[in-house]
Amino acid sequence: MSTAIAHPGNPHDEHYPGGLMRWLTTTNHKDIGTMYLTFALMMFFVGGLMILAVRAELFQPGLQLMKPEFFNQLIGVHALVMIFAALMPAATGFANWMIPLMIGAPDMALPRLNNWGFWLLPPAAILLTMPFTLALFGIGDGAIATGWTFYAPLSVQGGMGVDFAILAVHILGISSIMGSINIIVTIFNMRAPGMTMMKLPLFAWGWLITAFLLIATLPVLAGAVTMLLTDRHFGTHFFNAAGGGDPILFQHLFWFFGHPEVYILLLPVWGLMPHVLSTFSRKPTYGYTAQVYSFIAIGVLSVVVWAHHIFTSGMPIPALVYFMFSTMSISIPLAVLFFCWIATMWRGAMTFETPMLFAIGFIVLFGIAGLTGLVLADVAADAQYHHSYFVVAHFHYALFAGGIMGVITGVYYWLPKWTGHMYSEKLGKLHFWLTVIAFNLTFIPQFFLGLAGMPRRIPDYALQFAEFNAISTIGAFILGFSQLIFAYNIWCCVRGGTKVEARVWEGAEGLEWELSSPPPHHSWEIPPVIR
Amino acid sequence: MENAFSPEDLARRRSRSKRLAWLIGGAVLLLYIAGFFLKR
Amino acid sequence: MIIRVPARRPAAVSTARQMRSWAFLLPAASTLIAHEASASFNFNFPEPVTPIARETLAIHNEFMLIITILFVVVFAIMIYSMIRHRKRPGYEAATFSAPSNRLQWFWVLLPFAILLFIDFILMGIPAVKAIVVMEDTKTKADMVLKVTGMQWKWQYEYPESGIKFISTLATPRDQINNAEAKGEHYLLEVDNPVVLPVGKKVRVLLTSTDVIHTWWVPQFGVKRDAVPGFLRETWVKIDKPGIYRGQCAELCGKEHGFMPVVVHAVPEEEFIAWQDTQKAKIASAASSADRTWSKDELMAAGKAVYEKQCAMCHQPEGQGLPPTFPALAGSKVVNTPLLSAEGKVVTDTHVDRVMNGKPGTPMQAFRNTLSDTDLAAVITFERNSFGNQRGDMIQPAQIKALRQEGSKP
Repeated sequence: MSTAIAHPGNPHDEHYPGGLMRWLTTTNHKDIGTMYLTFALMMFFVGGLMILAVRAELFQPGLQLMKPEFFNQLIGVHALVMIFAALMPAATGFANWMIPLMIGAPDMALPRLNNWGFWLLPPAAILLTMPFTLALFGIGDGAIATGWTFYAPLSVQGGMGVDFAILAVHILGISSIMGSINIIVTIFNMRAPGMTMMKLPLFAWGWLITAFLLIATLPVLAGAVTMLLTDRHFGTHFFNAAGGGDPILFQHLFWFFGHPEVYILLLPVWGLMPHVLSTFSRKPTYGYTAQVYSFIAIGVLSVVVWAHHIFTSGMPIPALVYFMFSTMSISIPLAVLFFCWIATMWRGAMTFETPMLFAIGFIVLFGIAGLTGLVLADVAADAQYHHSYFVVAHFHYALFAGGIMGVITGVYYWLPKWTGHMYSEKLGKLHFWLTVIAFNLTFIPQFFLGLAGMPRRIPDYALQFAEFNAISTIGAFILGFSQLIFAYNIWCCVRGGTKVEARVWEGAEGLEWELSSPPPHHSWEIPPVIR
Repeated sequence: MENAFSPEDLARRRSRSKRLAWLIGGAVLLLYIAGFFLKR
Repeated sequence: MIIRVPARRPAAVSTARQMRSWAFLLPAASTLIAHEASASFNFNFPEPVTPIARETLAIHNEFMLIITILFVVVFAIMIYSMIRHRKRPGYEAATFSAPSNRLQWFWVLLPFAILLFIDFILMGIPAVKAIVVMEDTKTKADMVLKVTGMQWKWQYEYPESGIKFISTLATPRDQINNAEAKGEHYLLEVDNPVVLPVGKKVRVLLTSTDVIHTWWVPQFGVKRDAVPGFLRETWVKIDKPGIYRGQCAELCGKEHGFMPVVVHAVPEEEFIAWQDTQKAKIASAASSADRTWSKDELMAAGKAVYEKQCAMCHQPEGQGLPPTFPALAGSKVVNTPLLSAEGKVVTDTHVDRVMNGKPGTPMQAFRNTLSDTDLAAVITFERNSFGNQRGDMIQPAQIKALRQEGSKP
């Protein structure tokens, strides 16, 4: 499918092998970006199928389709696939495609590292999902069944799926770190003359903070899962109380990575939003400086709040109070972003093309994630929300409405730039409305389920939860299948369509819109002059 | 202001990038190894 | 069990108070409200019955109100802008990108001052107060309940009176597998509920023998992890008699969804009476361990224990769920000699595995949870069932002796 994205232009510029070898050996930032995005889209459907199976099981009380152990595998692998193999690669794909265009660079600073970073992903994804297939042939007992959090000691006693997942996480981590290093050095060293850091597009700023967060936290995750591996096979007792270890240590290490990970997934989207809003409001971005400092503040705060994920594990009161207030204080820079987004729209001249619709949907639904997050920070009330469906609903508002809908916004916004063709506005709008309605149909009932006391990660539930679960499952299926419209729309747009100009959108500002659509094979051979 | 990324300029930018990349890579490795000495 | 308790109000009858804070999701909730009278749509926490739960519900309601207001105000402004500030002929977009004078700075900074106030004063102060109350497990505690999570059941222990028992899911497997109609308390019913007196402050100590579990009864407003090798604590003081139901809330393996918590809260006199019957039961069980049992008796008792404790993993016919849960039929471990020539436990034999478990697997040390009689019965049963034909048996008294000398090989 990806091969259909050709780069017309001067053929002398393009000396790459044809066919598969082009993609295996490419060092071109646009080719690599395309591969990242294609991979992410494929894995989005893989992870989606997994959760549709889960929702089908949860449609009615009783066990209908699967055994509890298989159910546990599906939920954990769904999360790992969506986070590590769909959302993160999608954001990296955006970075690869857009950052060189936006900062006036000819390519990423380290193109071969870039290629390597991508090609680590498919083997990691295969490792993660292979135990499912192996179990079909009677080898092992399936994939990791601990949820995506790997909590010891459950993960110590788990089957070989855990080892596969540990290995996969290592590889995915190395890939992300290489991608992050590349993005940091590109932003630092490859900017066009005159582009100071405070003229850097906000998308690049968002990614810069993300890259630093990845570098600071992924080694901790890698360390934690390595310790898990040695506990499993080499007789260490990091997480075993009988040997002087502590299972809660694992939770601290995991969430030291896990909480910043949320912002790793969201910062690129927050960086993208001002571009989209400013474009379709035909008005300059409001509060550029404030947004930059908010990104930095959120980046710093995100690494000092991790223990709010483990309030119920038992902590001294000062620790509880500290983690509660530090978590609440994230609401301040986040509110700055919301303020700037709405202020950018204020007194603009708005039109509502698909990217703008998704951006507004993102703001509203991500607003719910932020507000419920504020409530979850409260230790006393958290005792009731924790480990329940309330949390499941909350983080899907953050990661689906905030993360995936943000990525969809970016795809619709930049797709004409990448392909040189316009997508179908009609299908795009249909996709938007189906997504928003089905998403709320899926997750609003889950808030109420959590309040009523339904724990998460259970394959079967008491009768009082039946109605909301049925509604949620119906919503999930509509949501899942409406994403096929998205894939179809992309496919058609790649294949052909109305030609677009360099400046695809009337109100678009920035270097990326100065290059032709699609851009030439080598992006900026002559550095643009920044006024 | 130059009107092209001259080969020298590009080479300079790339080598600066490589140095920084190795530095960050080293920091990552240090952080990873330091993790094993964590005690609670 | 001789306890009479007033039946809890069925979930379908929701009070107005329970519904008060649905409002934070105004737009979509409205579609559901149409149904609320007909089915079990609960829009808020279940009725609180402890001081903590009441506090939690009050805080939750206050917060939901605050965030609903924030949501409505912020997005009303945005929607106004979306309607008014559209592209149309003769309308020019503004060009401002930052506050430009003092008055504007005031209006820009005002929302953040409000937010700071909400975060740290309006939400922060009640939260800190609640935390202090919640963590105060020791002051004026009337009794202690020790809760031990294990895959996949709860053990309850009353250290003052020496009562100790295991509580497992009572819902028949046929209901779970849709072979028969589901009962009213499907998945939220147990064989031995924990019994607590009302009006007494109960200090709850939690630990686990294998992986992390979480003890949760929504109506108590407490949820605390049971961490293997560590002791965590919380407390409850139940206001009114009733049956309160909850579940394990931390993923703990394949039967995570099937280890409910059921608490019978009863008046103090009834609680004392219950304690006396439990103590009498323990005494009679202890004396029965000293007599010699016939093989038929052991086999019958063993079958009952097996079905409750072992069948979940090793399956009713002993076929297991390989590779995680090995089959007992034809098992190498089961088909080992009972004891050494000196009458001691040998490593990795049947008796060793049942009594001491296998670390790093869900196979737990049943010496900690089963009585001498139960252990003897289930070992005898396994050795002579599922095609295993060892023909031998072990007496409760032997187990008792092994237990006293430590029984570790």
